Amino acid sequence: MTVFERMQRIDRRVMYVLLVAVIALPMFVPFKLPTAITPEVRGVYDAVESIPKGKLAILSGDWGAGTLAESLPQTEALMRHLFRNNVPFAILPWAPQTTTLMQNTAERLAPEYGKVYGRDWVNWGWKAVPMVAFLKSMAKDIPGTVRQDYRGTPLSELPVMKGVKDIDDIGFVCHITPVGNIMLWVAFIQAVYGTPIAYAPTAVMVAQGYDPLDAKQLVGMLPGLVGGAQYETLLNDPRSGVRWSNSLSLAELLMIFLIVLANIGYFASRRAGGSGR
Amino acid sequence: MASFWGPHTDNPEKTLFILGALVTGALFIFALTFVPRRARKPLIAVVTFIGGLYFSLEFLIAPRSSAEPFLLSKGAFGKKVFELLYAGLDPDQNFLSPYMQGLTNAWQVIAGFTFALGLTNLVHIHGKNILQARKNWGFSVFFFIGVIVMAVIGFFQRFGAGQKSPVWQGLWRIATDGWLFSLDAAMFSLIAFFIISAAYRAFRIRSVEATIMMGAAFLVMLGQVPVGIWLTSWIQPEWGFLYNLRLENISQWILWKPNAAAQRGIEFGIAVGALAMGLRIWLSLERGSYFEKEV
Repeated sequence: MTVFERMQRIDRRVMYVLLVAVIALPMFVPFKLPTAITPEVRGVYDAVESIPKGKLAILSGDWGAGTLAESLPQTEALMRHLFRNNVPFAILPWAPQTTTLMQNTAERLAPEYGKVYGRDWVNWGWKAVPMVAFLKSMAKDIPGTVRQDYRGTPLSELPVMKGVKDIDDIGFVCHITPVGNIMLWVAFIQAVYGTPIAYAPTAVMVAQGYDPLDAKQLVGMLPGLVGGAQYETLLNDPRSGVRWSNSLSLAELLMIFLIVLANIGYFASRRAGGSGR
Repeated sequence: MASFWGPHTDNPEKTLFILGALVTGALFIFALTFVPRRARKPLIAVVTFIGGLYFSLEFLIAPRSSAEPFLLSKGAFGKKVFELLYAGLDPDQNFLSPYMQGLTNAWQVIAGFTFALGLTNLVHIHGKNILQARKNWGFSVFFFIGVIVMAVIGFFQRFGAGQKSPVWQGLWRIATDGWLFSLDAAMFSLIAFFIISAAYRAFRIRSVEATIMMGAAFLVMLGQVPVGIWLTSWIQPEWGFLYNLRLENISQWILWKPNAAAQRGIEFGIAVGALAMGLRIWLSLERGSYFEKEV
């Protein structure tokens, strides 16, 4: 086997070990890399900054532990911003796992800002109902649609829900998701009521967000883990998003290096008379 | 504290309503089993049509805020129509809107039945695997252990005294943070290994299209992550046009312009397809594996 053929046939176990190494490295040897703040991330930040006093924000999410590395930094950065600005918010989970994951995150962050469940934030809990029906109904009657929080407490008993009747009382929505259902928020809420909607997808879904962003149907977007890292930078509070994006950087560099290596081998072996793979 | 019956334990009337609804629902489902086979498809078609019609009309018919000035300008007849259809409604409601709440609740109940159906199917399949000692029947045992343990812990930590019991709350933490989330995250993280292996083996520049795709992919990938930004961070903003050549700026241009245009085209196509598909399902015209089987 020639060198060029070897370049195309690296054992996958070697690649796996290299991948583990480059992902783990920044966790043991921290280093700082520059972060550029993109307009879509700035848009989310500005929208949170301009939530009118007395209005509730909604953090809608249907992520699970599978996308925790991307969705958690996004969720955490948004919650920190809302807590810091004293903006009350509701967690609107679309999956059972999300109810627990987002609640755990809020409970972990709340003591840092002196916030209390029921007074400063609420978890509406997962409802087994299709998204379209829920959004259409919620827009016109939030207490009637949501009825009770994730623990079964009626919304009327929670101070944070006082005066919240319909979508006019919502000042900002961010949908944190690995799924391509943001257009439901756009079609049934933004387009009808003009509520500011932001999007926090995982990296694989990012491309889909630029169409509604360009059409001004979304106020902004946090693209994957990097979006969370940029948001932390805007908050001047770098945390897991910034740290983990260094691992992502190295993993992407490794992948590009391997692809380039394989292609060099491919062309060189073809030029040398082989067929390449 | 929430009990099994929700927040209304102190309200016996409400509990009676719940029990009554449960019995009525069970009787209704039991009655449905007596519908002749020939009548089942038409029955489903009628219910689907009425459901679809309601949601379409509720979305399309003007709310009171728009209809009021129009109808009141049409004299006595318009006033009569307004009083008949819109009187007492909120400005953003039409005469169909008040039923939305009840239908959404009914939807939740139906969704609950689908979960029960899914669980029944899984129990049936995995139960058979164990009873017949089929290949890999051990995995089916783990299915039952998983379902039973999660259901028991989930139930007791959620209702009654378990809500304040450190034992049940601790067990719930172990079951979710310790098992479920860790397993889910571990399983999903395997994708990284598949991706790196597949990209290395399959991504070859064999054509012009493949070259363009790879070039765009590299630029977008690098332009999104800190290390890519660092690579061209030596290009200064005051360098004028050259500043556009920073990786993050090239990446942003690709995402905001060609990508957005392509996405728009794709979504337009999907929307037209979804509309056609929606019409076919609404009118029960759809044919295929899920629509032609005997019910």
